[in-house]
Amino acid sequence: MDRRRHGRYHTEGHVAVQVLRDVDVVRASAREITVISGSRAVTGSEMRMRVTAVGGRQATLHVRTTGSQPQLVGGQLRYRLWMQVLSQESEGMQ
Amino acid sequence: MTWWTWPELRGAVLEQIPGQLVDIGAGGCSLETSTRLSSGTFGFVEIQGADASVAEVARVCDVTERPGAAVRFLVRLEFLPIALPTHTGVMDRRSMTPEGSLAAAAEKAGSSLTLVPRRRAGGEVEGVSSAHGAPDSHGYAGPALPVEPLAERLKK
Repeated sequence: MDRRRHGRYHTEGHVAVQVLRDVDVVRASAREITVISGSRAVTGSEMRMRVTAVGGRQATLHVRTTGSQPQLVGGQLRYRLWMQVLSQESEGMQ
Repeated sequence: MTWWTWPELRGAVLEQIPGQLVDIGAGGCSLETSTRLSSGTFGFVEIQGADASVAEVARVCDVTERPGAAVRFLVRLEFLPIALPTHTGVMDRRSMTPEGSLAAAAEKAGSSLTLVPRRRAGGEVEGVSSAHGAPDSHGYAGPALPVEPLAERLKK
């Protein structure tokens, strides 16, 4: 139980929280990427995706969800997401 | 520029979570949100108030589910001593502090943020900084104090 009665910080400004969710890459091409995710995505939503490979290579992509379909993977509910690659924002080594 | 040909490709989606900031200290913050998050999830917190801007790498350390509440989850996030990578900002980073740290935001934060004086071994006050500089807290240490890797600190 929190002993504090009042918050220590109040803001009327903007608060943004972003979380990283791991996805399994099923298929990838220059313009489209298909992944299996633990959470669904709204068709049309745009987000950033970071792809990494062995050796520490990584790239950040700006993608748009074009489709989302639930499916069972190993007895657990997952979502297959189809994403259009809008642009590549960066590429480098970790 | 041929990332799709890389072997053993792995991915992570950076997803924005809508929420309301409930509380914040130098070591972390808590947030009300309708999005279910799991403990251990990594992310980024950016707060832009009238008098301060904070940008931190964070990890979800506790989630309280409140059935029947208007906003279902109370999420506590712990700030991590990791520099915020570029290309993660959802807001205009030009208005942020150079390192995105609370220490750097101290001057303009005023009384809004919990800032503590950093003390040397003898108890002498070294200067006002965020609690990130304290040896027993999380976050960025000042330039005079070398940052001990998190893994090493966890071994103690």
